[in-house]
Amino acid sequence: MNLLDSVQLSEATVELLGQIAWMTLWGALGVVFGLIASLIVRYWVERLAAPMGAGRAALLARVLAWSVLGVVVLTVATRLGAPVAGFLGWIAGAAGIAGVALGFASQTSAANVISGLFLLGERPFEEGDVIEVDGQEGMVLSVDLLSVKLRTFDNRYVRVPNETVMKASIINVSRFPVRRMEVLIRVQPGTDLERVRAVVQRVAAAVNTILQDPEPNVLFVSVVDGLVELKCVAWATQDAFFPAKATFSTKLVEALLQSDIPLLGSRTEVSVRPPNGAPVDAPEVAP
Amino acid sequence: MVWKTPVDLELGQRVRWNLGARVIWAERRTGEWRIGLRETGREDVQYGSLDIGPASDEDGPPRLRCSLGDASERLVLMPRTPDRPLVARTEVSLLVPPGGSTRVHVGIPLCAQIVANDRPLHELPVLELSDTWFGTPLEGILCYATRTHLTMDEALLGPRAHRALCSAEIVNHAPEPLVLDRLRIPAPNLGLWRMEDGQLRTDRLRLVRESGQEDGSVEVLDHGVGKAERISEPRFPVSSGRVVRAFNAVWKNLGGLS
Repeated sequence: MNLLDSVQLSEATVELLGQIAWMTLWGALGVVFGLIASLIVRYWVERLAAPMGAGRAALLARVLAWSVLGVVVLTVATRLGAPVAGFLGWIAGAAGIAGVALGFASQTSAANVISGLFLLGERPFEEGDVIEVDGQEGMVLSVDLLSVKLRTFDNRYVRVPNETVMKASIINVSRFPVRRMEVLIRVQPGTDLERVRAVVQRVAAAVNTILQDPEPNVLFVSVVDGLVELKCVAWATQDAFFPAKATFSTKLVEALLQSDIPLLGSRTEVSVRPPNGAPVDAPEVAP
Repeated sequence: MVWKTPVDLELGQRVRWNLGARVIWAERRTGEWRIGLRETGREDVQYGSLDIGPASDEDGPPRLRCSLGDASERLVLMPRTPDRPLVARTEVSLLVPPGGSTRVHVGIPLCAQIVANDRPLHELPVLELSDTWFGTPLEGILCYATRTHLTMDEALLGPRAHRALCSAEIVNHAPEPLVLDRLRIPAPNLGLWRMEDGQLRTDRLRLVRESGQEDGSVEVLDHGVGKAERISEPRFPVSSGRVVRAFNAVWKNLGGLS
């Protein structure tokens, strides 16, 4: 009897084991199928959405690929008799409790994700653009779900959270094909501004990558500390901008000095007189 | 004659093409050509010249070495029009009344292409040209600025080794006057001709502004003056009908920049 009972128990065990093996096999096949489907979706979405920009296409492809994988896995699980509906219900119920805790924990991430989606829609910049945001200036390497990655001009890698990007003012420096460079100078009051303009135009004409049109010019800015502040402006294409600016500013300073137009810093005059009006000798300063 | 004159060199010999502002040289070495240039600062050379001689330190260091598999020994210097459009300004705005037409001329600085056994080796501008922008801050096209103004008197643009003469007829069929401040010349679409006196000319242009049309149509015609030899084809030949309508706002002063 004991032996027979033992044999019957073994058959049940074998049947159970067979069922487990069958479910494992189909589950594994389902996961493999899901992975292949998600890879195919990712491949095609990246290509079809390429006009949106490589970064955005990659992000969209990733989101859709994960969604496809999730749907396939849940479908397979349902087919295998797993209590998916109950599980999802349990998730929904638990979400009430966990959601509060999770909400606090992932508030920043959620804000970044939502900001990322808005950035994807608004497209204030694209990969390869040079932007200024939150005090950082650099070339956009990627626009991801949580953050924007920049490469600064001194070759540092900067990660700016999407929420910060959404809240901050963004300056897209490279959106338009030409860009104006500015060199601020201060000259004495009474300096002939036409002479300064002539020097600026002569220097600009000698730098081939500075555009002759729009014409280089000198703009009055303000009077600071008794000195006249001027903005010497010239234009260049985005590609040539930085070398052109470096050459222009260097040659401009040289040319202004050669033309007897002194460049001045701030000038502060302090006059100290005793009550009797006699000037006070400057105190000796120990070296 | 400098352009399109074959030059045969022995090993170690150097040819110098004097094109006024620049002397371009090429030296034959074993399995390679060395190419360089020397700035002269002179832009008043009329036809240029070439001489063959030994290498000299005065020419400066080579800019480029071209390695060739075969033992080519023949070089030719070919003139080419610039690779970008040129923007030429008028000295003072020129007004073409409704129904009127005028003819303007401008010097087109050339590029020099060194060709060895029908194979282009290298190309150099005979004059360094400044960049300029034709358009608005939002869109436009990068061009070169011409060294000379648009002029109505062809005699003011005497022969120079570094440039070709370009003539453009401007026809205004619109009911309002056309104020011409600057003109974009589609230099890459122009071929070159050598006249009997050795001077180079580009194809002629005919720019027509029709009524109600902001843009103009640009037609490329042949040199139209006496006997001439076609010396260089355009970089980008104009397609059928030889009429280009893509040059939007060829004369419109779009402005908007400071």
